[in-house]
Amino acid sequence: MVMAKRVSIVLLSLVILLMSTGCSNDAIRDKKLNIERYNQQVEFLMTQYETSKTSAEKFENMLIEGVFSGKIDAQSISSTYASEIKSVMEEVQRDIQDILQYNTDIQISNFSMNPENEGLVIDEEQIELEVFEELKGSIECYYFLDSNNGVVEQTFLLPNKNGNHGLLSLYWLEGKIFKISYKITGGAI
Amino acid sequence: MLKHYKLILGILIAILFVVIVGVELSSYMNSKTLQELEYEYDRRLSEYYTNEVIAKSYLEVLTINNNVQYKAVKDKLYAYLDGRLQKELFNYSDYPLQDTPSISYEIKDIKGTQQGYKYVFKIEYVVTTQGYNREFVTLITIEDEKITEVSIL
Repeated sequence: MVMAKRVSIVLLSLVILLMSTGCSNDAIRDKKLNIERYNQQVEFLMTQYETSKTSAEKFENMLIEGVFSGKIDAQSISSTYASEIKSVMEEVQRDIQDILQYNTDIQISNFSMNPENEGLVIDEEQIELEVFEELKGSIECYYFLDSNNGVVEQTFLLPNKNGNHGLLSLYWLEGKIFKISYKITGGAI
Repeated sequence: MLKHYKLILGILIAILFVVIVGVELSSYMNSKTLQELEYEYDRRLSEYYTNEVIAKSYLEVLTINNNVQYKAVKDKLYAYLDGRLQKELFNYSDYPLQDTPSISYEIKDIKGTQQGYKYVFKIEYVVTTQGYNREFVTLITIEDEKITEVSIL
């Protein structure tokens, strides 16, 4: 009888040990799965980012030049979204021309108002060129990653009146553009 | 009968022993693999995620509407700001703030990018106060896990 009791205790202990090891193995397996899943997600996001950024970068200079010159080859950016790109870019160009004119007028007015320039002839073309270059140099371009889905937003921060900005965003996935948007921001609170 | 009982028990214990050795061995192998996996944890986006949390937390400043809230936000955010922003945002702690209507915000979109050692996050959010909504876009620059620049576009 005593023997049976002892054996039962040993058996029970072994079963408990077996179960606890089994549970810990399950936890390790879950952790392994989570790490693998996470690594796959990171790999996916990084690949998406690199692919889309490489594609988008090809158009960075072309877009900046196009914003000022009024000439954009929308077809070469995306044949599927060419009409949307064209329409948005026309809106951007109107705003840019507006700010170019506005800033040039201010510069000319400042020139005329400055007593040091009395008697000097205003070189409007030169001023316009300077304003043009200044505005062009002030454009910032970012490549933002959405860490939820791998979408890359190529954002151009364009100058606008009253301290606001024009936000031109091209959305890329798998190296292809799928959306374009343009909006004027609200400025400081 | 007792002999049989002992024999059966003996066999059972032997089987259990073998099973346990097997399970323990697999557990050991698993933990080794886990260590290797943890070593190979893909950390390319770790900094990105850490900085994303810091960038999001900055928006808490919008909720300051009295002294209690001011202290709560300061406690949470102060360590994440560089010296200039610490002074700009929290340099009037000696002065009591007048209660203003509560302000809340909702993040609509957040995206980020790395530029050298810096991370820049673009956050689109809606601020609500007294039923009035307004959408904002803000760029938050983070360097060494400190917010160094905030531009409300």
